[in-house]
Amino acid sequence: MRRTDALWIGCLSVLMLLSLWMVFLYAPTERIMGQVQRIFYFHVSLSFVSFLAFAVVFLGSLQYLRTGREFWDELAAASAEIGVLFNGLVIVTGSIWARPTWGVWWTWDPQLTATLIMQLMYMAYMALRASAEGERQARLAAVLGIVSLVNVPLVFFSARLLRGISPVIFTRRGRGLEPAMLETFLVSLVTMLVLYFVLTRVRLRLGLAAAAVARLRAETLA
Amino acid sequence: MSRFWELFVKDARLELRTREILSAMCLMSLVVLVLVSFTIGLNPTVAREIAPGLLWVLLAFSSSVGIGRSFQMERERGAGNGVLESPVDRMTILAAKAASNLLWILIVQAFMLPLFAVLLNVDLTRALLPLVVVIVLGSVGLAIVGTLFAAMASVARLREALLPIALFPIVMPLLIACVGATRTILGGGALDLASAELRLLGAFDIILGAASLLLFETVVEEGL
Repeated sequence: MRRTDALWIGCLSVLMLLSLWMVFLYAPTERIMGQVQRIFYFHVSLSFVSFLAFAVVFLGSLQYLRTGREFWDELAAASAEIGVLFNGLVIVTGSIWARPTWGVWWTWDPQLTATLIMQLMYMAYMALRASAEGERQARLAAVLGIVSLVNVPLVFFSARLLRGISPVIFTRRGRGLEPAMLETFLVSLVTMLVLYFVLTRVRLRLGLAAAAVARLRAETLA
Repeated sequence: MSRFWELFVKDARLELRTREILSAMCLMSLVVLVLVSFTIGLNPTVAREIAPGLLWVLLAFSSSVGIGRSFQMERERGAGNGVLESPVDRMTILAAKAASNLLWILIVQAFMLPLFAVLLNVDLTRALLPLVVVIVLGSVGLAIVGTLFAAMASVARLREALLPIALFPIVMPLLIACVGATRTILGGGALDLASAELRLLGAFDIILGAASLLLFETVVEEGL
């Protein structure tokens, strides 16, 4: 383990403990939803960070097509994996919240539907990556990485057209958030950002190492 | 333009000789329709309720069968690389392929719509013109994006399996808009009642269509 790694992991551990303390002990209990509302500190920050992750996939894809450098492709790959993980957790934490609040694990609410479609798009991205090698893999993935992000606003817009929009969704954020709640939210957002950064960094390094090994093997066999 | 036309006519002529794609697409629509009526049990009330959605499920599945075959012939005989080496720019190649796919989708719909109306007992005659507008707008987006994805699928290892799993999530906004507009129209509403859906459809066709045209070159860089 390099020194910078130790530094990042130390920083992450402190942030995680701090945000756990803030989420469960510091932030006041929400009047209407009660204890279950605390899951929003994870849910909403995960959701923000998964958008960031998919935006990084887009940037990596674009840069790869422009420069042809392996780094950008591996960055997109790493960010997509972590994005799918985070977005999956958004769906799971959303379900855990929906069960006591709406009485069901799942409804076809616009936000949930859009999140699910986004998850399917990026799972397909990973399936495509698994289905090709080398430069071809990188190029096909870059195309899908770009098309997928261009599609995200349309997905969210179209989900709003679905019937049965539940008004509950609009009470969940913003408006009159108590200072202690806002502080807690911001700290958990930063924690998730650092978690995303640390995980993507490790995954990126792994991807670059794997590519280097593949190149070495090809050279040796040739 | 003339190059576009030549490529388009080539595909149309090949298809007229074999009629392979068209028959596969029609059969797929029929099979799914029968499958749905057996598994869900289409009594008249259910049929009317799910007709707009079912119409687009049939269209999506049958299109993915047809679009999936887009580059098959090119691959089998190596003709695709011949087309790529000829002095035609990539956008024209994609546009011509998408145009022929669009034609297949519309022909299949022309056959399937009457059958659909009879089997589901829905009256399409009153709303035929607005319905055609929605079907054409939806099919344009499906054909362009689908053709790009077919090219990607044909050079990836998963081949046929990749097309639906990658294409359907991407065209979900298009399908949601089409189903919404179709529901409004079949419910007796005028086309401008579905203006939000139509705007979304237009946005999808333009944005994703442009992206597909621009990105096709990248997909076929190493040949087909």
